[in-house]
Amino acid sequence: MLDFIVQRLVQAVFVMLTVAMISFSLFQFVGDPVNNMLGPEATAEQRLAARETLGLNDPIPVQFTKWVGNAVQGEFGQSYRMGRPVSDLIAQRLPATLELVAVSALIAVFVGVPMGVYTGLKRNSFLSKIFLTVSLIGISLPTFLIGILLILLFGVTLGWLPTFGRGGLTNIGNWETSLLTARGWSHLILPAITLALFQLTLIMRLVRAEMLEVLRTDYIKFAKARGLRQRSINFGHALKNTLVPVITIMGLQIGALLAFSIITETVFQWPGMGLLIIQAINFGDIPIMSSYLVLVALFFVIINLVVDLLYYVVDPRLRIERTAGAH
Amino acid sequence: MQPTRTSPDMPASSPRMWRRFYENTKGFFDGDVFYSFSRSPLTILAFVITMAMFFAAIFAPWVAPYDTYDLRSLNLMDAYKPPAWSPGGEAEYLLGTDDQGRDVLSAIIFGLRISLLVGFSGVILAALVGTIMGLLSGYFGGWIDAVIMRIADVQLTFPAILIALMIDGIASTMMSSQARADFKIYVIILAIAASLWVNFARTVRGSTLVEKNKEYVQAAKVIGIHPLLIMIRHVLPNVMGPVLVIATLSLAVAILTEATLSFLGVGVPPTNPSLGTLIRIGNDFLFSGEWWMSIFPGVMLVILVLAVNLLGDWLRDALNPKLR
Repeated sequence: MLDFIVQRLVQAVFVMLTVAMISFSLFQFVGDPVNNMLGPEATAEQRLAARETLGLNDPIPVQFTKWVGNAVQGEFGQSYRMGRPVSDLIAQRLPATLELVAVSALIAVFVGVPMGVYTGLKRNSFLSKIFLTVSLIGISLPTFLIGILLILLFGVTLGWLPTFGRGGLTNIGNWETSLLTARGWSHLILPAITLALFQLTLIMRLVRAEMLEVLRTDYIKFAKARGLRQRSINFGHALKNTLVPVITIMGLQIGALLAFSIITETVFQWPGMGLLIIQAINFGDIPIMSSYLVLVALFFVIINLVVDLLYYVVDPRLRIERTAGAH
Repeated sequence: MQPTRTSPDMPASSPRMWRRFYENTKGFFDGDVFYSFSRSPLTILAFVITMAMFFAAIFAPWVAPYDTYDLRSLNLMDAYKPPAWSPGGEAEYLLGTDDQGRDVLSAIIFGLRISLLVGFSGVILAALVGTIMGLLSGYFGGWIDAVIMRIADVQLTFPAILIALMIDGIASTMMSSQARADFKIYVIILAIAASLWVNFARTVRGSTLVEKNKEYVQAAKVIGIHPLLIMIRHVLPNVMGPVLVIATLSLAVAILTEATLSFLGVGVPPTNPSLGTLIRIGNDFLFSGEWWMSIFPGVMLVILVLAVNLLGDWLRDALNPKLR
């Protein structure tokens, strides 16, 4: 168990360093930042002084070490476009994205898994066939189109729900949340459904495939022969054994949710990190781009670690094999 | 811009190899695969739709009612016309017109061309790079394998759209705005290929590992054939099946990625709009009730991706010996 965790941690550090190197190298692509900061009127001495204070005269490895040191402390420099510290901008936008992603993930799991179990158990029922057809379309529908269709239906035609931005915010410390008011939820629900739909269909199809696989195995037949109740066979034996691949995919999908939140946030003008990064890409705002890259990589690495550890919780075989191997 | 016809992307080699490839394919279509195709009406429908779209895209200047690139044909008086069947619509413009009087149907057909061009180029590039990497990785093993697979691992943790977005962002900071407009389409193709090659590399590596230990490869080694020749002439033809499946499914992903990038405004420039660009432009008019500008390109995109996905699913099942 321990050497497994250590191995994963080493891998995580490797990934983070690679991403950090890529992020750092972004800065080398753009012109001299001194020109941007001082303007064309600055004298040569001022430029030299600025280069010295910014540490631009240091060798590249030294600059990289400094940059990583700052990044670890949450310092990513100033945004070129907005002239504010990147850490402030991200701290301001982060809650919006995290709430959106969390609500979407919950929708995807708590609707997707039951639908998958149902279509797996009642393979030939009418409802299953509808679910499957809808899921096939769901996989082929791009996220932004789902958003547009939902806006058209609930925002424009029916006029039930607001279609852009956040609203009904409550402050808890530095965290602006929209989860505490009905108005906040009315703003959140359409983007969250948009974001969740693709993952929902994916989870549903996966759970169904795994259920079909497991239901064919001998131990399920044996459980039936023992006369166990159907409920306990379906949920205690079958569903439990489908969980390993499902957890893997869910872990990966939370990462995908973060990436796809860029699209959802653009469609719904949701003021989160996705909107920030799209604007940064359009304006070539390197500090925001690089820090976003590092932050997203960090999320991915943490999620992957958690997923690996969850395997131990759901799959007792892993625990036994590892201990057996250690003896 | 001429649309490229795609042939199975094999490295240039002797005519003998092509003949063998032909014979392999011939047997392929006489056999189980073609039989399973002819027994699945949904797959046939998907195939017909896909082919119809390819045809429309390739022959767009002749198929489309209007040439949307010809600015003289645009008439602002014809702007904002709804589809032909709704009140105010005209029979000349079947799916209505956009804010500049452009025929939506023609714009969709020309947009389909860009979408397919970018999608195909991206997938072919990804398949080429991924297959080569997978062959090298699987055949030689050792440090080559370690390096390639570590890169693949790191990249696999990031979703395709994020990789494409970042490459696009980096490219746009490096280029001037003029160069950006000119080379944008290549940047998108590169970005899509970069986000897709890992799937090919991992699959080909897996198949190569299996093939490597078979007797025919061992025999070829013993005769003293150069490793590169063994890879191209002996291993490659035997790993092409999975590559074909992944290529088909990747085409759907590539088309969606391109559409998404274009929708986000970082994709192909509005001067030659793809389906994604059309949806983005139409999206601005959604609230004022001109729904047809974004919904029709959207429907086209979904039908295309759905058809390609169905073909890919079928191909995967048909080539899977377990399910026969």
